[in-house]
Amino acid sequence: MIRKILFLFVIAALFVSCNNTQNTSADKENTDQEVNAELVTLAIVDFDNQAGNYVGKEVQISGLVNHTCKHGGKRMFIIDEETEQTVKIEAGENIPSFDAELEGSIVSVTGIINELIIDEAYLIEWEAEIKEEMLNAPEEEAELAEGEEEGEHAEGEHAEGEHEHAGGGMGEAADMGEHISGLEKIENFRKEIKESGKDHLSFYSIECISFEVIPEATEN
Amino acid sequence: MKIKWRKWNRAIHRDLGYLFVAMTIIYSLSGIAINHLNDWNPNYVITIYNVHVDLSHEKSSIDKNEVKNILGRIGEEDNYKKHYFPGNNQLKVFIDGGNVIFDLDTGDGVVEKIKRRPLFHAMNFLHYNPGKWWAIFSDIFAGALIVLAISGLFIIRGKNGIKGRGAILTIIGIILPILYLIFFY
Repeated sequence: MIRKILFLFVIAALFVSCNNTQNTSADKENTDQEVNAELVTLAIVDFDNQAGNYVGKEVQISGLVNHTCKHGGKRMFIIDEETEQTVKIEAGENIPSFDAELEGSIVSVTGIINELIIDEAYLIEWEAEIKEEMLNAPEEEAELAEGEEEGEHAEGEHAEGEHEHAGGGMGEAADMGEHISGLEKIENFRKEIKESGKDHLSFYSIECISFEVIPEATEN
Repeated sequence: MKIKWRKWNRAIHRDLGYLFVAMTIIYSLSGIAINHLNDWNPNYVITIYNVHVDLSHEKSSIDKNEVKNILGRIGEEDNYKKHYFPGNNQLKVFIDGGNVIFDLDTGDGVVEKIKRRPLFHAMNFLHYNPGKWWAIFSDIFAGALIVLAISGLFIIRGKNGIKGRGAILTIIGIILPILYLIFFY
């Protein structure tokens, strides 16, 4: 009897581990999605202009999944195909991860808008961290240290880190492999702040509460 | 009545060990995998290769059927999902299990194929991406590991127990992380 039970366990374990047709997270997460009568629907093309009005509020947005983070699956980027404008979606606590198979799918995301403010104080702190890392690290590790800072700051990969610095567009670029050094990024941010005429830059992203894949037949 | 604590200790250690042996292996293997994120992608096998197709059409005339036709020339005709044009001279096609980016001027393309890494993808999912309920179960497992560790100290009596060889090994096990903290924290 015990042998039969063990045999069934082994078969079940093998089946689960080798199953490459796992359901998307959407299927699992959608079940507990609550309908919010006051939910604001934003278009990707309007996101940068309107997101500031809805920081901390729940919104809905749809778009083509252009990229997912392949390591942890904690974020994805949706785009408007015509304008190529991009919105970063971060996995909320109810979303285990965004599967790579989502790329190329149209998704409807419900989530909370987050704002990251980058000002001079932020950049000074970031710059000091990079320089300290470079001073403390041996020469051959200094470049690596700068790269790690880049990861923590501009890519926003380490949400649990002491400082989460996530430049929206640059984070996307970095996630897609277009890595530039942390110090160079800081200078770019300074230029952008100067050009904006304000004392800071705001980057908006959405912390995903739930999402669903929209079947191709109903894309429009 | 004297409580036979050693008997209870062994029973708890034994049963928790049986119950969580699978979890321990899952978390250990995926822990090793995630420890080396800089060296490999523990979740996906990503293959990238170059292709070339003759693209004689204007961007404006490339529709879904034409994209499928293009995919057919690289053996991916049945895998079409979606396409769009990033920039003026690029075509990005999402296919099942990856994507292809074509340069419309040259016809050169880069295929990225993404395949879940067997076993590790599932184990890393459990380790790295806990949903609410799995997080609760993981917390219970973590608590059980503490109980297993402490109860394990008192399984053996005598010279190999916690008063002899066990004490030396336990002290070494405590000193090692402390040394690391002293030098690197």
